[in-house]
Amino acid sequence: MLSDAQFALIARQAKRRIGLALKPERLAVIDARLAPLARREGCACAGELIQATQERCDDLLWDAIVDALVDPSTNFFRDRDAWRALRDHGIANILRGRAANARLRIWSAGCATGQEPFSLAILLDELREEGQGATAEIIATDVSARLIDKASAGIFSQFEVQRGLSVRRMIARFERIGDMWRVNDRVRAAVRFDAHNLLHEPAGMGPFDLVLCRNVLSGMDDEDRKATLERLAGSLAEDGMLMLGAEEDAADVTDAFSRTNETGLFLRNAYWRKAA
Amino acid sequence: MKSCLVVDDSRVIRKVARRILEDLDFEIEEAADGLEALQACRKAMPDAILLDWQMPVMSGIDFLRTLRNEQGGERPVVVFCTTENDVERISEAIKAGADEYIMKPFDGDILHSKFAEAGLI
Repeated sequence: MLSDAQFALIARQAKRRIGLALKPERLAVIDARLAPLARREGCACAGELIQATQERCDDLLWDAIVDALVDPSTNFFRDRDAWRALRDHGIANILRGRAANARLRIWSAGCATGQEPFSLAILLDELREEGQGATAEIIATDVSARLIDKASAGIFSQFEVQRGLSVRRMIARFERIGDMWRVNDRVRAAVRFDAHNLLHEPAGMGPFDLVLCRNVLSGMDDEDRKATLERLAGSLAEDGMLMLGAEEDAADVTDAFSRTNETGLFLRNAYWRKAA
Repeated sequence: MKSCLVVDDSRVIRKVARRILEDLDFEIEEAADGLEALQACRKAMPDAILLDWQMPVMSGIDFLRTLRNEQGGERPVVVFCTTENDVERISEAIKAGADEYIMKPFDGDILHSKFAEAGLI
């Protein structure tokens, strides 16, 4: 088991590197998440792994440790009601403000294993089939290169593909390869994956019409959350929208965003300017 | 409270499904094959049916085709729950009138997700 001093060390690194605020009561989870990496590094347990970082002064090892702490849990169309609101209010609202042939730019920030950006691609594909969508460029990023690798393959287990997808959506957009399911070429081609740390400026990425950053900011302390929200605001068009997790707020720490009537959906305030 | 008929020739699967669905507030009836299921439906149409494919006496797909031609048989929401995972088989089930489809093995999350997709939750 990790000592208090080792936990403090991990917490400091996690905050500095990716803005992840670790809570001491999650020690058992941290221990479990580090166990596979510890084994790969030839250590008996997480405690030994942390000891190794001090002996080796290995920066890349710290990157790997922090990477292993990123919560990978996600589902297709996670929170059904939120996705309905995104389709009926969020995307509808954005499309009203755009030319009929406009190409939307959407950023899935903190996409984990890719279910979120692929859900978006499926949703937009369905809207187009109903004759009311626009073409879109979806950029999906995560701080974890490990998760981006898995996401960009577009291959999901039978368990993953049954969490959040209706059977009709599944057979319309996926093909079975043995026991795995791969998104079809159209859906896969709609999404571009890249590693990106939300603590850094999204230089050259914006402006976006819509940014999804769901269940990521709740892992940050208020200082990092505010700064990250303002970086996201800076990457949005003036009338752009932000979608957070169902339990998350943006308007409590920054005046860059206003709440809407829909849970999880926020509007960038046109008057807001990034502090120089 | 909604009712769900769990149709599977495995007692273990029926027990697992019953436990999960009771937690989701369903009242459970059980049947061990398609014919038993049909008899149960003729007595009282359930709101939902969780349906295995391969069973003795009458298979799930034969049961479903018969059910959909019965008086009131269009009403129950039918969720297949089977090891069959060929796309052709899945399409065949949808064509026969299935509303949702679960590929075994499943867990509580998947059952919950699929029942939500089918509008049962």
